[in-house]
Amino acid sequence: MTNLLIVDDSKVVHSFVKDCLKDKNCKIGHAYNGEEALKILTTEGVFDIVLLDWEMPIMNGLETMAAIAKSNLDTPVVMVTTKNKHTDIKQMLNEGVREYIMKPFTKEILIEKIEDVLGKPFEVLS
Amino acid sequence: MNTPISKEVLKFFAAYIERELGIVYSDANFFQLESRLHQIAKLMNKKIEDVLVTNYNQIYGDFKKLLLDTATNNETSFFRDKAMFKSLVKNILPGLCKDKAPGQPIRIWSAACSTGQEPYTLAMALNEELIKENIPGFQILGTDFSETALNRARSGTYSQLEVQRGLPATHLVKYFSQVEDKWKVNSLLQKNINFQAFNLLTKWSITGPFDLIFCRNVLIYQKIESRKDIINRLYDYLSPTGFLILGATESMMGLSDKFESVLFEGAAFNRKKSAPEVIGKGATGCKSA
Repeated sequence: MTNLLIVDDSKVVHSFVKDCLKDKNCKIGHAYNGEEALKILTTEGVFDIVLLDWEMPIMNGLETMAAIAKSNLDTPVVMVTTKNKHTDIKQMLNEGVREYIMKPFTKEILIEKIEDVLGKPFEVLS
Repeated sequence: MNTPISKEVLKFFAAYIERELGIVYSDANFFQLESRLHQIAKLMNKKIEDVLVTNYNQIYGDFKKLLLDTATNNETSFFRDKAMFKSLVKNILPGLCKDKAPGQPIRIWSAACSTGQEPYTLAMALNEELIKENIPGFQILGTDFSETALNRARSGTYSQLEVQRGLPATHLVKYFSQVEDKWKVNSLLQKNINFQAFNLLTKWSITGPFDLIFCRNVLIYQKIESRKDIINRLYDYLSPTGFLILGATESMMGLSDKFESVLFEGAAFNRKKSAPEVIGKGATGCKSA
């Protein structure tokens, strides 16, 4: 089973990701800003992957990424954002983000990027 | 609603496409051909009736180009079948390089390169090995029937959606520049690739041999006779130690007995049966074609 944490202030994104992965053996955690995400990551055990928005209230995606790195959490992070400038993507990679998905995105791209980062396909629910 | 096109007329254009490209439209797929003919009429800014009447006896000019262009399936993406590219770099390239004289480049042919994602993927994968000094250099030939697809390949310009499919973010920032809302391949990659118009069914005017030939997801659209003919000719263009790569769901079964398929970590590579064992060693499993 894949443990995935979505960090995004948009409930629509949470709902869309959940729907995209409904036939996968995947447990989804939910956070709506960076601060909540850090609390969950440090207290609720190990996640296999984090989907992280950039622009969020309280603590944005880049600040969250820096805090994740500082906490020595090695959970791979995929940035899911509307930002798509060359400099933005370079900046997120420099901060330790493993991959990025530009919003809006399709189910196929979401699954492909997650599987690329995990290095294996999702288990499918029977 | 579009004016319906009679089955007889669709049969006529389907037969023409089959003669020119080998692509077979079955009756079940006539609706696709019909839709494409309507698209062409719109592109030419003409009534469908006028387009059909003008071209029913002699197919030529812009209509011919558009008909054959739209008949080809240009479905492609960067790093399509990632396991194969990973295996190619890990298991195939080292052996190919052993055979090369100093300074002699690896020659690759992407035989149906469509809008260029396959040759650019190869260029990125090989450039990473070039940086590590694992390979001596490389030249890639990208060919396709469609001039429209080739023009896009030559421009090396892709939409956000196209670069999202398959291309790692690290490669995007390393090998592409942003031009307005598009992404353009850097000249570093383009300098090793030559694009050329080419029809696999007619006389071949390219110079072999190649160390690697990619002919993925092309044969599935062809008649069995054309498949055999293309495979036989690809054999002649492959170097003695080279590999032919077909699509993930394609096989040599019933097409040729001159190749054997070698599996490296789940990815299939076809080599000449007469090939020395140099590169085959390390395969996790072998099967005969």
